[in-house]
Amino acid sequence: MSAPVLSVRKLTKLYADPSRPEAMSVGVRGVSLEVERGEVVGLIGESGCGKTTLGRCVVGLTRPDDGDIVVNDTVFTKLAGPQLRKFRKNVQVVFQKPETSLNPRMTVFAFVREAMRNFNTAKRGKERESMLELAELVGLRAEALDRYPHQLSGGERQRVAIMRSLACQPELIVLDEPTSALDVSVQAQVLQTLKDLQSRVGTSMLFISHDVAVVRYVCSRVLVMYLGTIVEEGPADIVLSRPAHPYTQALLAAAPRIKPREEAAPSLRGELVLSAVKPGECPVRARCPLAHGRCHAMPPVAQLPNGQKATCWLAADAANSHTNQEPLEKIQ
Amino acid sequence: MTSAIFKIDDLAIDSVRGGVRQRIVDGVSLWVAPGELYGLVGESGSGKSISMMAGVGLLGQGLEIASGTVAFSGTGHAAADQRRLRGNLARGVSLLFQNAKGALNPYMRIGRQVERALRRSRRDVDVKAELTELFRVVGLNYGDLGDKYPHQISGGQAQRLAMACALATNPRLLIADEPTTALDVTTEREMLRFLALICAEREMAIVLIAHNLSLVSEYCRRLSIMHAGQVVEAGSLASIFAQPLHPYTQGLIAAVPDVDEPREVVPLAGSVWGGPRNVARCRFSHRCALARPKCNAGRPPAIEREGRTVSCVLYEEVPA
Repeated sequence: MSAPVLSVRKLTKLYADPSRPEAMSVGVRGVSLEVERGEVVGLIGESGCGKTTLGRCVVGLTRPDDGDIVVNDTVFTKLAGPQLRKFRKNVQVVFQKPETSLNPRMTVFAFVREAMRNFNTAKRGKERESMLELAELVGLRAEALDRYPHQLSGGERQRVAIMRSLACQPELIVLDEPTSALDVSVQAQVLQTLKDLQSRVGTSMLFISHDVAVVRYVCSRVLVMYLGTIVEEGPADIVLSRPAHPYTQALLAAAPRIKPREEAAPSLRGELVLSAVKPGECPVRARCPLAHGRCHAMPPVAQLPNGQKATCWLAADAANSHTNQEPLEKIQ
Repeated sequence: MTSAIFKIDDLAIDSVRGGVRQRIVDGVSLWVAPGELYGLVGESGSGKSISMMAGVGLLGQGLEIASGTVAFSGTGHAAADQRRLRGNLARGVSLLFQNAKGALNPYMRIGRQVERALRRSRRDVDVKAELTELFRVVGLNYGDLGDKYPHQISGGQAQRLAMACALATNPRLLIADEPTTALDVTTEREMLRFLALICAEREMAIVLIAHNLSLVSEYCRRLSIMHAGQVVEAGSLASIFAQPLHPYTQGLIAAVPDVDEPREVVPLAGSVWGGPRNVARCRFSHRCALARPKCNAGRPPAIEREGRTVSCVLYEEVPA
C-alpha cells in the first residue's frame, strides 16, 4: 500500500482566552489523521470544535504549536522560505464564501492563470487550453472564463474556486464548508461536481463541514471532532448510520431532515461551555446524555469492527464484548 | 379561514432601482391561525423575507407596494398603508431575526434590554418578577446572565434572549426570519422545539421563514413554498412531502442529500432570477423540465388539489 497523501501527527494549535485563564482553550489538541491517495475524508463537528483550525494548519495558513503535517513524505511543517513557497502547490484550499475568495477585479481566466503561473503548472500561452479542460471537469461553461466574479452565479463562483485549486495540480484539496453559503439547489450542483472529480480524477480531499448529510454524500471516511479532539472516525456509511459515540449520535439525531425520524435519540445538554470542561476528562462529559462516573477519566480509543473507532467508555465496552465473544452479528 | 389572526392577500411588491421597475413579489397570499407554526420556505431571493416584512409595515428602501391587503387580528388595511401596518408592531406583532447578536445592543447589559422591551408594552407590572419569568421561559437564568453584555454570551443564548425580548410584549404573532441559520444543529433543534412549544402554549401564531425544507418538516403543519416572488405550492405539509406536485417542490426535495438513505442528488437547473422579466408568467418556467408555451402566457392558476394549492398549469389539464 502506498503512503498516505496526508498524515497529520499529534497536531496541536490552541487559542487561549487571556481573559478567562481557567477555561479550556479552543483549537486542536493532539489530533492525528491520515488521508489516503484518492480518498475523500470528511471532518464534521459544531462551531468551535477546531475543524477549521485543523484545515488551516494542513494548508499551511496557520503554524501549529506542536506536531507534524506530512504531505507525500515531506514534513510540511518543517519547511520555510522558498522551499515552503514551492511546496504550497501540493495543498490547495477552497473556502466557504466564493464572494470573498475570488478577486473581483480579475476575470476568471486571469485569476486562474495567476495560480498556474505561480507554480508553473501550464506552459505559457497554453493556459487557455488547459483551463478549458479544467472548466469542463468542474462543469463550468467556456464563456465563464472571460467573466468577472460578479457576473457569475454563486454555484459558478464556487466552481471557479475549485478550478483554481485544481489548476495548481495539488496532491490534496482542503474544502472548508464549500457549500454552506449556497442555496440547496446550487449546493447540489457543487456536490455533484465534487463527486465527479473524485471518480474521474481521483483527487484526494479533506472535506470540512457541519452538515452530516452532505458529508455522507461526498465522503468515504469521516472524522467527528469535539473540542479539538477526534471522538469518532470510520467509514462514512457506518459512522453516520450506526454511530458508536454519544456525541455523533446526538449530532446525527439533530440534523434536519425532510423525513423526520420516528424514534427519539438522546440529545446533548446545552451548548459547548469551555469552562465546564476539565482537562483529563472526557471532553463531551459535561453535555453527554449518557455520562457516568468513569467519564471523569479520559476514555480509551475503542476499536470497533470495520475500522470504526470511538473515544468513549461505552464504545470500549462494546468493543470488548466484540473481541471476547463470537461476533453476534455479521456487519454487512 | 375566519380564525386567521394574520392574513396577507394578493401582495405584490415592485423594486424601483435606477428607473427600472421590477416585480419582485408577485401575488403572495397566506394566512395563519392562532397557535399555529407556519412555514414559509424559499431559496435566497425568493421574496419570502420581503413579503413578511412588508406585511408588518417594514418595507425596504427602493420598494413599492403594487397591490394587496393585510389583516391582523380582524382589522384589514391596504398593504400600501405601511404606516398603519407598522402600528401592529405595538399591538401584538413581534419579530425575531437571524443574527441575534446583531439585534442586541452591544453597550447595554442584556437584562436591561429585555426590561426595556417589557416596560414599553406593559406598565404597572412587577418588572423584576416578570423579567425572571421571561428568562425562565426561554431557558435562561436572570440571576446569572442579567448583568452580562451581548459579547459575553453564546450565539444560542443570544437567540434565546432575542426571543425573550420578542415575548416581552405578549405578542399574538411572531415573524421568525431564519432564527436558527446562525446556530449549530444541536442548538437549532432546541430552538425549533422551543418555538413549537411556545406557540402551542400561548396560542401565538408564528411564521417561520426558512431557506431549507428540512427545517420546517418536523414542527410545521402547513407551509408555503416560494420561488422568485411567487408561491408555487402551499398547504398541508404532510400531503406536500408525501407527494410534491409542483415541479419546483419536487426539485427542491430531490436536491437535498438524505442522511438516512443516501441517494444521488439532482440539482435544479438555472437560478432563481433567470428567465424573462416583467412578464406575467410562471417564474419557474425557465428552470422547469416540463415547461410549455402556456407557462409564459400569464400567471399560473392556483389549483386546489389534495389538501393544498398548487400554482402550475400542469394540473389544469389533469382532473383531480
